[in-house]
Amino acid sequence: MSSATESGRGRARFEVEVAGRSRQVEVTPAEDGRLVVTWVDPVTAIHVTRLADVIRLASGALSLVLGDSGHASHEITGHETAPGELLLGFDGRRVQVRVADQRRRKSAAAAPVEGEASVTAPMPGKVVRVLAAIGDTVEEGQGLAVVEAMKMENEVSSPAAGIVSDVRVTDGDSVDAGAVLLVVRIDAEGDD
Amino acid sequence: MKILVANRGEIAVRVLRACREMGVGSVAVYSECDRTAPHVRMADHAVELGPGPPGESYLHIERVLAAARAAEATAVHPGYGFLAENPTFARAVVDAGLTFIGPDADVIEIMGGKTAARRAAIDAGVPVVPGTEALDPSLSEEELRARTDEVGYPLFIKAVAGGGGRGMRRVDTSDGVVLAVASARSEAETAFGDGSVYLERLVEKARHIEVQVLGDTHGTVVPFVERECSIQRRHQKVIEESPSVAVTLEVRRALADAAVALSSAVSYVGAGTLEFLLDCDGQFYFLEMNTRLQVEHPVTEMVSGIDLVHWQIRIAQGERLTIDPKRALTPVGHAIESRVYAEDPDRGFLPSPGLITSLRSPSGPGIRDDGGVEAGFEVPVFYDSMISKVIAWAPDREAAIIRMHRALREYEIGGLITVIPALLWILEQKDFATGEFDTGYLDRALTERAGESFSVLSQREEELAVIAAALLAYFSGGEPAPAPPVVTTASAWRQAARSEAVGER
Repeated sequence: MSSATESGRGRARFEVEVAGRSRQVEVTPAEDGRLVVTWVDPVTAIHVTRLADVIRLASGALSLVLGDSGHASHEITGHETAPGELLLGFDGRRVQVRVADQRRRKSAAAAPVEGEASVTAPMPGKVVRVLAAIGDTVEEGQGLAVVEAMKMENEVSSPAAGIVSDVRVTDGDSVDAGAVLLVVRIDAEGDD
Repeated sequence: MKILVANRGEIAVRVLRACREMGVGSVAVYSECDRTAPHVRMADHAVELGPGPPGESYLHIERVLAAARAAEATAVHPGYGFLAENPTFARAVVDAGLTFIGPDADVIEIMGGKTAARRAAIDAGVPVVPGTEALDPSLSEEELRARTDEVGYPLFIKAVAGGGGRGMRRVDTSDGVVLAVASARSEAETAFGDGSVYLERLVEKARHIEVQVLGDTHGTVVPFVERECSIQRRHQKVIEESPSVAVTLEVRRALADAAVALSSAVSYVGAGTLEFLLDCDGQFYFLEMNTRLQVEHPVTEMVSGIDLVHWQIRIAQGERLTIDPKRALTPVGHAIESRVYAEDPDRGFLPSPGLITSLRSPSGPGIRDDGGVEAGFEVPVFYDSMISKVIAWAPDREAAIIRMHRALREYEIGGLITVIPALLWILEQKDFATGEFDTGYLDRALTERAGESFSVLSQREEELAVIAAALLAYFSGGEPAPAPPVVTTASAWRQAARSEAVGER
């Protein structure tokens, strides 16, 4: 277990996106070892300040007691699903959020080639069938590959109408979550 | 007796626990990716079968038998799934001089065949869904109409070789029968190379009700109070309970009599389950028999106080059933089971295998958690996505639902996405509380939601998420969270891909 002061950090700012809304959140250590968390609510524009007594448990989860909410007590798990993306769990709920550290923010990672869309595996598994070949014209939502995991088959479909410009897997390949299966050159004329 | 448990996950753990309780020796088997699974450590001996894919490990009959020889097992418990209902396996076990904990291979064969089981039920006087055998293609239009009128409407025309809804037509009146039979035939011919079809009455608003039985080698069969398993997603059970709100004392007795009649007719030995459809008028129809222990057996154990796995083993040792039949049929309180699948309910129940970073199972009064995983275990992609079952017992159904809700909120599984938010939502539905549902209920309710997230946040919860996200980022010193566990997933997969590439079999 570690407390806020042990982490040895001072003030820090993060950009936090929850429920599709982004806000700048500032975390400042208070003198008593608790942490002050402040942000401006993106809907109401109200300035929110919360005093948090926070312990990081051995399991990695946080035990949180909020000083100005009648000592509301919460346990929250957090798990990184992709760089900067966290899956939070509390009270039987699962919430995907985005966090970016303001001081370390680098320019966005290499953007995808304009006009091309990567079709990726939604979970680790085995490619059962590739349903398209290079040069194929495909519709939006058209199935491009079938990936199997845990005895279930899942069809991966094209995000847009276009032409298949690359096929990176073959039947029987094992793939990780997020692995690029095919690349589709998006048909600009098809847009309205 | 030394029992080899030819399975993995929670059911292997369940059976191995019974072995320890009974002072019986035990052997676990495991595939390469299950080396660190808890069941390996709950057995006296453990033998590796082979690579992860089931065909090279848990479904590989010779390797399972070789493991039994290597660890000097004297009996085999198949669990459920994998080889549990494979007559060839049951026969091979006996031929190897071992005891198969389950019924005779011939009985597995009869009850496993769609038409053979139906015929056995009819012979035993057990009602089946009204229907026909394969229709003679030379029937005239009048003869065809006579047959469908006899079955009753609405009905299904089904392909004998069928599956996946192909070669299947619903007919509501005698008008469209001739055309529907013709088109079903041609579709079945194209799909399966066999155009034969049969008729089966559609049981509307049907519930899935099943009866657990135990049979010993001395001819005694004991039926248990029914289980209600109508909460299903795409024919996959999600929540089960016992007793059923829809079963009266009279129906319970009739179900039990039917179960005994059919089980006795085939000289059933061991634990088995007869599945029935129950319509709104209290009429029931035999569907099929599962010749093994079922996933949902704990709800029966909770309301009867009888340990079914202990009895499976005692029966295999030749003991006589000494269970008071009245006790088996009289439920004490109410029990509910929730299946915790590693699937993402917010992405169409997409499988979600991966590394479990932290785990706290629910406990406390009336709660039983039958799990097969722990923190640090990587849930493999090769097998079923069910990682545990939570069973709640309480004096009545309402209290059991509340208790289950409490327990599922207590469940913390880090690193893995599970169906828990969807389970909580089902428990909160009014139709579930009143017991007004049939086997199509959950699929209809999910369609109505139209993909809405099961974790829509209140303002207070959204605020909590903001605070938690910022603090997790703060504690990890600028990086939002510890190293992603994806790394281990990747390496396991590369390994699997490699061994496949070099043709290791």
